[in-house]
This record gives sequence, structure tokens and C-alpha cells, in this order.
Amino acid sequence: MKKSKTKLVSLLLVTAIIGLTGCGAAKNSSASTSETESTSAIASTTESTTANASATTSESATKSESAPKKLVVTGPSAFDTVSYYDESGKLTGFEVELLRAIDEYLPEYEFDFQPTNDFASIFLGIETNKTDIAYCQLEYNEERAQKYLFTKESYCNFPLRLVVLGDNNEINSLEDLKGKTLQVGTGGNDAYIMEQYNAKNGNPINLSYATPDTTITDANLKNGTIDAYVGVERYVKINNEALGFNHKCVGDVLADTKCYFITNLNNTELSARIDEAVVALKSDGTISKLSEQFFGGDYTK
Amino acid sequence: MELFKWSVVWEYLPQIIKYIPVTLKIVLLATLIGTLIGIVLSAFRIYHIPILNAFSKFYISFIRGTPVNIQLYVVYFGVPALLSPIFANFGYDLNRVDAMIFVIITYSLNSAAFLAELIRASVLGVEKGQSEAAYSIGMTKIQTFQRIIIPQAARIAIPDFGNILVNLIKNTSLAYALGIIDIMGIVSIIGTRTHRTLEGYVASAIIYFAISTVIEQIFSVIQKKTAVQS
Repeated sequence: MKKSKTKLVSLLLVTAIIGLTGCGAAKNSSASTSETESTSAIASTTESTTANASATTSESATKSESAPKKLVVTGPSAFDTVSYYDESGKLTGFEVELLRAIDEYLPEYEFDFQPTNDFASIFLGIETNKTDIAYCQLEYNEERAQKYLFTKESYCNFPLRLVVLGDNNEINSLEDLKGKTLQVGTGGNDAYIMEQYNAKNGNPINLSYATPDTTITDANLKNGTIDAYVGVERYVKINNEALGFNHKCVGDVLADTKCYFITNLNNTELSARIDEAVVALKSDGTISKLSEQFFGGDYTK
Repeated sequence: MELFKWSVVWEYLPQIIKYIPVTLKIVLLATLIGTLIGIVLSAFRIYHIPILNAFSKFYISFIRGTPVNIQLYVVYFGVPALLSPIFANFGYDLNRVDAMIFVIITYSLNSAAFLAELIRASVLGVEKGQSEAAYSIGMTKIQTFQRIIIPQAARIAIPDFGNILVNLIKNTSLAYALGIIDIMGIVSIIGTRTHRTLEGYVASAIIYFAISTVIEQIFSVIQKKTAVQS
């Protein structure tokens, strides 16, 4: 095993040098869907980063039909309540536990969680076939739908609203934001929606792009760098409680979006199977229960 | 809520310390592999081997001229996208290789460029008269290289080798973006759970500073021990 690992590394090294300096246009090679052929050498290298990897590595590459197909599942590694590590170092959270339930429901698949710290990497992983299923409270929009396959059954709502400091009474709607600065997430659906709004209305709002670090957002609100940000009420509540913020949601819902899982565009079968599982887990109350457990309320409708 | 509490920093430290080995593993393997590649790259340049010399020159300036996190993404996403069809023929699914392997490859390739220049400068830094003197007493080329050039070049290389190592340690802090749980990875994990990130950054700064200081001290001792007594 050790030998094949070093062989693999050296092989990769040589090719990586060529790849790096060759500098060819990195096209998305039409994905070879050879997951089933992954040898035990590769299977055994997926270690430590995932909580449940150790349980899945013992399989060999036997082509027995009963062996479930291993799928890589990627989401955020540091998203409180959704996908995070608990004190014992176990990956958990609303979407993680939901995916575990889906995994259980689908005997033909076996999920291997490989979370990342970089939001853009979640999408890139799907595009490059590094990962099979992606999650991160991902909202549907048309731009994204051209590149990724969304599942059809939502499991969680995501009503976007304006968020301001608790003592701010000037801003109550998008109109009030004229000439002011609104923070949106880099690569986020809120950014997409606000860009569309700006394009339609002659750019009334200054958009400030940021990776959502709530502490920095709070500081920016207080020091006036931004006047408002786009958020979801349940997270605003959670942050107010956990971090002692005084933020409030104002105005109408900007977009009543829902969350879905995404897969590679070619992966229609997997997407359909996830939908079947989500429907079943919705009707037996599993998803509502998870929502109560992690969000403190049922946000599945 | 207070923005910063020292008590939280002390809570962070023991948890971060557990992940120092992960960072050191990346650093050690990358230095080892990087040195080997660096020797080859510097040989191309020292002996002016046609084509390969140009390749080596380009490679070094490319690596030195691009940020490490971009290199990480190129190696992690770009290389498999280009090469997975080839690897599939050998039964390897490149897309399913552990992120840690790609991280080690990236940092190896990265440090190779810096080490290659260091090796080249050190070898060329040995006076020409030294090898001429060696030839004059009948040493062969290989003997001269082993007994005269390498010991002197190594001494020239020591201080900068330490600098490269310290830089590499700091650069590994970017690997957590790919999901690696190292010093920075555990800080982000604990920060999410406890909602106290600033203390985590301060705690990790203390750890990085401590590791770097230890390495600097080690190298300054080596430097003193190997210095020519005059």
C-alpha cells in the first residue's frame, strides 16, 4: 500500500510539473465517470479530513454488485448549525445529518464527507468532478442552474432580507438604500439578486462584496463601512444570541429562495435519487426534526 | 460581549498544539521532495543544459511569481481536470485522491523553485579557485564536487535554507482552504463552534511564531557550528 502511494505521488509530481508549466487552458475535461474503479490505494488515502472516512476505507475494489458506490460529498467545514465540527471532532449540522439520512435511505450509495473552507471550491469541485454532491444552503438561481444540476425537492427555505443594526430606523426597504452600501456575499445568491436589482434600477445601491464573517460584518455595520447586509432571519437570531449582536431584519422578503443540493450536470440519476430520498424524509418528519434540532424551528416549508 | 478575551486564547492553545504535527508533516515532506526537485532544477541551470535550462528558468520564475493559494487551486483542481483521463487508464481516479496529497505536491513544487535558486547560488558561490586547486592536486570532477564544492556550498546555503523553511511554514496556513485540518483548519473549526475567531487567530499567531523561532534558533546554531574559524 505504502509503495503504491509513493508511486502515485511521484507520478502525480511529474505530471503536475508538466501541467503547471505547460500552462494549457484548463478546460473542464469531459468527466470520466470512473468512480467505481477507484482502487483501494486511492480509497485508503482519503483519511482524517472526514469524520466517517475510516468506516468506509476497508472496501477493496471488488466489483461485487452489492458494494455501494462511493460518493464524495462537499460542503462547508465552518458553517455554524449547517455543517461544522462538534467538540469531539465529528462533522455535524443540519445539512450533514440530512445527507446522512439520505445516505441511509439510498443503499446503492455511500457518502464520504470532504468539507472545504472555501465557498467557491464547493462549486469548482462539482464542475471538475472532484465531488459528487455539494451542499451549503445552496439557493437556486438561473445563472447557477446553467452550470450545475439542482435537485428538485427543496429541504429548507432561505428567505433573504435586509439586515441592519437594531437602532437603525432609517432603512426599511431597498428604496431607502439609495446611495448607501449593502454588503453581499462573494459568489452568493444575494449578490446575484442584488446585481440584477441594480442592473434594472440604474445602480442605486453600492454593493460591497465580502466573505460572510459575522464578526467583521458587525464591526462594519457599527463603523459605517456598510449600512446593511442581506441575511436570513434565523441566522440573524442565532448570531444575536451567540455573539451578542443587535441586528434586525427589515422590509419585505427580497427573494423567497429555497435550498437544494447540486450535482454535476450529467448526474441526473443521482439527482433524482436524492429527490426521492428528500420526499420520503420530508413526509416522515425527519427533516423537520433536524431543522428543529439545529435551527430551533421548522424552516423546511 | 467583549471582542477579545485572553482566557479564550489559552483555551485555544492546547487544541491547536494537537494539530502542529499536520503542519509539520506538510513542511517536512515538501522540503524533502522540494530539495530533490530543486537539485535537479539547479543542475539544469548550473550546467546550462539546453532547453532544460530554459525550462528550469521559466519554472522558477513562474512559481516565484504566483501566489501559493493560486498554485494550490491549480494543482488541486486544474491538474486532475487535465490529467484524470490519462490516469484513468492506469486505474487511478485522480479526482478522488486525498486533498493532502495535492497539498504536499503543491508545497513541494513551490519550495523546489526557491530551493533550486538557493542551491544554484550556493554552488556558484564557491570560488572558482577552489575547484582549480582541487584539479591541480589530481582530484577528479566528482571528487572535487563531493569534497570541495558541496561542503562549502552547504555552508553558504544554511541561513537562507532556514528562511525558506520558515516561509514554507507560514505558507502552509493556506492549505486549510482545501479542507486540511492543520493549525489554521482547527482555528476555523473551533471559531465556528465557539463564535470566537479573533482569539483563535492570535493563538495561531503565537504558535506559528514559536515554531518559526525554534527553527531560526536551530539554524543559527548550525550556522555558528559550521562557520569557518578565522
